[in-house]
Amino acid sequence: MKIVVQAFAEAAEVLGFRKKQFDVENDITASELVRLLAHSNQEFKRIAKTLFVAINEEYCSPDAVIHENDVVDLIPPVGGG
Amino acid sequence: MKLCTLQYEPIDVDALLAQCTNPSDGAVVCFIGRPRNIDNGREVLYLEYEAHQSMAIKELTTIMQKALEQFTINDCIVVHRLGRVDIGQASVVIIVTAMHRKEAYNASQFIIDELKKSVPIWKKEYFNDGSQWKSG
Repeated sequence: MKIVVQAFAEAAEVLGFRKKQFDVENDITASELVRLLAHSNQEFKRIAKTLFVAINEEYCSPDAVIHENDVVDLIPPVGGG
Repeated sequence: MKLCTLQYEPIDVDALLAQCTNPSDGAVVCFIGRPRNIDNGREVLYLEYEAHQSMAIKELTTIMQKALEQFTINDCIVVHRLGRVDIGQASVVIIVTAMHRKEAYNASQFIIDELKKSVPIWKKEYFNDGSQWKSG
């Protein structure tokens, strides 16, 4: 199934994209997607544990299931203010 | 007035304060967050902010709604900068008005604390010899 992944701040820097479409297996979870991205990217692996994930702009738990056409946001620890 | 916004331009605090005209409000609390020029002994030249803009506005609106439910306040304004923010400039401005100061102070503190926890905004510190992302 097709999903869109958006990366921000340090996550965007280490992944080398801000928005990208991915073809992934059905019923992949948020944590599985992060593991998949970390598999081939050591820099991303380093920050993966600190990431929050949002699906369609709602923060989700690591075991949340991603559906077709969902927009998944990779959110490093925030630093507003 | 209820307002949550993100902007690249410097924040005009006086213009925001001029929006708070309710004559029954005896307290106007204005919190201004600014970049520090020192972080862990290193000189910071400036900051750059980025945000997941649509989600940040959504989260800010939720925080504002909670503040309006929990505290007896009237005007509530939250403006956050994006892009380059120089030392001394405001990176965030929170203005809360209330009949009495206690509610305004408490609401202001609630909003900045919650903003720092959940709103997807990031800052990068720039030094003479490099840069780093800074959370919290």
